[in-house]
Amino acid sequence: MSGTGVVLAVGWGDGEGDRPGAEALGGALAVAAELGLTAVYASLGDPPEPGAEAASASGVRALAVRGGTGDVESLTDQIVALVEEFSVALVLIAADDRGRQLAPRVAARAGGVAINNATRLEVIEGALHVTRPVFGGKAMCRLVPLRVPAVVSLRSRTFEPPPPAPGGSVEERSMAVQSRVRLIENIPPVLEEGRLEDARVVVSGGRGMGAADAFAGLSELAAALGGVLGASLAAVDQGWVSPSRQVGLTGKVVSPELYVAVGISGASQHLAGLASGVVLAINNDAKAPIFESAQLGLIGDAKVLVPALLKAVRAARGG
Amino acid sequence: MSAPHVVVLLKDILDPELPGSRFRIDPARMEPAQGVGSAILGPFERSALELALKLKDSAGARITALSVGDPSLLDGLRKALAVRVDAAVQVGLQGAANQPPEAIAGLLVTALGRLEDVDLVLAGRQAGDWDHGQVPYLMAEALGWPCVGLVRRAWYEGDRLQVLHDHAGGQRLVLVPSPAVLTVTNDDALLLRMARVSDLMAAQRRPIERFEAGELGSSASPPGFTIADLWVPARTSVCEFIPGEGPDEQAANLVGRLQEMRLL
Amino acid sequence: MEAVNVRSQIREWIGEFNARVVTPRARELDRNADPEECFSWDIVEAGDAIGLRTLCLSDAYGGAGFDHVSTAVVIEELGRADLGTSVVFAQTIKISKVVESVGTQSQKDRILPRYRDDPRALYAIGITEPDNASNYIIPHPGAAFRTVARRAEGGWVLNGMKHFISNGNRARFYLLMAQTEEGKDLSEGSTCFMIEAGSPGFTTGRVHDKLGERLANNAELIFQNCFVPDADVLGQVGEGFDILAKFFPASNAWAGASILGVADAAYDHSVEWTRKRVQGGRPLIEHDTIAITLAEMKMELDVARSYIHASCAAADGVGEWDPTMGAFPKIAASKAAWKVVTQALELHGGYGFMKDLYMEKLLRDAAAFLHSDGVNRSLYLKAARYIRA
Repeated sequence: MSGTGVVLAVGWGDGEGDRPGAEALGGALAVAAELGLTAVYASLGDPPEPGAEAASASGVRALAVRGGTGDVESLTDQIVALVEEFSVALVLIAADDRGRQLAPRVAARAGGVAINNATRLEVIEGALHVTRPVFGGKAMCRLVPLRVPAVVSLRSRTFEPPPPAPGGSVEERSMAVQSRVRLIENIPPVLEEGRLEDARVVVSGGRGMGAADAFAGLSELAAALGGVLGASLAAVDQGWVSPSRQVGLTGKVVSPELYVAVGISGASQHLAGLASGVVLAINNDAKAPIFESAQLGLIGDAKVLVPALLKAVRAARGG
Repeated sequence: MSAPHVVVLLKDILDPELPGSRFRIDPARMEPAQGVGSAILGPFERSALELALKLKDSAGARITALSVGDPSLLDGLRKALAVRVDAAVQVGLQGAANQPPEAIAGLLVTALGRLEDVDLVLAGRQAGDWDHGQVPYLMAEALGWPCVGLVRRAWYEGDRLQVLHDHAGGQRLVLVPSPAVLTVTNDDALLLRMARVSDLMAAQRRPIERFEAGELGSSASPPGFTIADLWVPARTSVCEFIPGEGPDEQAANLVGRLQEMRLL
Repeated sequence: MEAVNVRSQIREWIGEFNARVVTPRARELDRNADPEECFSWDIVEAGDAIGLRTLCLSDAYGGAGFDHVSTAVVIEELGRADLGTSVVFAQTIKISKVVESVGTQSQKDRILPRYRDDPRALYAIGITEPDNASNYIIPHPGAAFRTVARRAEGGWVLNGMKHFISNGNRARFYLLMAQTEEGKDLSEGSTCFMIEAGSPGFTTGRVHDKLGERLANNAELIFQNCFVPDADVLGQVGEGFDILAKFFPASNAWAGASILGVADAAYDHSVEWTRKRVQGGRPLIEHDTIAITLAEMKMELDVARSYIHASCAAADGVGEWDPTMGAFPKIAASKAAWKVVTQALELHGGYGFMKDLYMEKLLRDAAAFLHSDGVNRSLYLKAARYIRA
């Protein structure tokens, strides 16, 4: 990473603001000085997202680029064009579903290297070190990119967005791109009550729930605790619960204050989806690996414990 | 349209269900310790394989299973043969599972060039071990082919491929030109079918075409990153088990504790 | 090396079948009060989809041509998930194999393709009667089948009944032992007939309410002037007992395999239980007396399995066949199973005695093979005849 060059943070908003893009900007601001790079922010959403405003207010050059379709093909083309224009040495993006596909594609097109799912960035003796979970979170590895641009996708909550500030100017750009993939129909996300990513409490069920109808009780418990229902990959694969509820490395990353794992063994990539929070595990098996990661544990049959807990929680809340 | 030729990329990975307490690193080699667990066909590869088989059922597609793997590790390919893929190909490479994504992508692209005209490449969205999630996307760029990720359904309407995939929290239905690369995500409609017994037995005897990584002579470009460190995080949490005689007492004690911790 | 690899592949394959199809259903089905509600066509059809019904048939009839040893592995693994399921398939595999071994080309072509193509087609064999059970294991002069076949034009007319017949009310195809010569005992005067469900004069009666093995149905077979044409005699008239001699070797070892699966399940549960349950300040397994008990259990199972596999290998032509192999493997396995399951019951303490735990079903299932496929005393006596002779 040489002294001239840019760290480009990119966001692409999803119609509800662009926190992931803003987090990428936070990451860029955290490492730019030590790497001797200048931070630039680009919002590829249409309309430009608050992230662009915050960037320019922080003294960072901010671009709002219209004309894309928001799909991975289109975003790749736009980011590659920006990389070429600005001599970008480092690209930071969110490690969401699109981001993790974008990183290798942008890197390959631009002759650089990609690293997905970073949970930490450090500058050691002038070089960027990227830490990421591997083997479903059973281990961590620290990688040093050797080519430019390095394209790194960041797990959510790895960095904080810079404080929002009004003022500053945003450069408007237009970059029309053609995708080889033709859209036939867009099926927007089902607006379920409560987004997992924002939930203060998450109650997740796993293979130990045994059946689809066991999730009704979990939903009630989640609601009573003021939270949202989640699920493990295993429960989703059984068809017991919608894939939109899946928490994990390939599902949603959540950062609640309290995470309740019911009938989840904890031996898989599930906990990699948990960025923070006190873990309460409810499981019949005292030797289940989840208890190695949980702070609170309840051993017993979920079929009796969940209703008992629901009753006790409702009583405590006076409802 | 003649029957499309679909290539499914397979990887045998360290069993993701291995409990964390049994997982060990070999610090000298920066990879999991030898023999720490058994290798299984990865979960997303299984979904990709099932999607390929559905294309065989619906469109008469010809399926080739392709894997870069340790020459002694043929389990994934045998499993694919047992569910009746038409051909199986291995690029033999010692320690393949721990190679960086660019090296694997390069070998696979070269190997594809040795196969009969490929119309579609299916891959799992990521391998369940190193979780880089890069190989199929690197391949698409190297091949210059369109690529759609996180696919749940795919079918041919005439000779056009229609694909349903995840996008921005929802889904899109798209038309994809051939040839293309698709990555497949888990879906309860993509549970890999069970092999019939006669196919299971026959799979042991069916030939697997073998290439050696060296003979493919793909350009060994310099590595994109180095591994500075690989470690198992220390387990710092000690679980506090909530006592109680029976579920009602356990629940009451738990609620009390949660209130103390200001989580309720 | 190769044989071991095949066995572990088979175990993994049936293990997946069990996890997807059998285990999610078995306990609930077993609990139904009405025995007919314990049986599942879903399980039969799922097994058919992976080729279980035709496991031992040749390629010509859609089969995988499995040998005796590999089949024993399949049957044992099914038994690990549920005994009744293992028996349903073991019976149909066994008997269809006998038909292919003994039948004429014309008979095979008439019947086996229809067996192959119907995903619900099961086989049953009717031998046992209220008055003739161990009698056909330890035949003694004067014991004739009460189910009688009287000569008629172009065939035979059957009258009588069988009971306790596995798959009796569910099968589509049957082998039926009936007395064709008066004045001779069943070993010399009986004939094996091939009959199909729905034949005029053939009905099924009561479905027995069994202590265990409930996912398999056993029933009465009733014959009232049921006509069977000459073409449906399997083997030679008057030589029905030879069919049984061909049938018994597979039957005995494979019956042992079914019950061994039950014991395997009990053993596996015991290991897991004793690793978790803490008394006396440490997990049970760390008390020597418990660890030794587990070791004893494992040895019993390994011994029984070795015997089953050795007998199956001999039936496949590898190693020498000893006639006692048609008697001992099932005895060894059923005794080991009963011992292992009752030891497991003790190790689980009070929890094991609660109906909502798995031990209760395993205990009831383990009881089945003290008598099934030959009451153990009768099999010992059968073996003793070879020793005396």
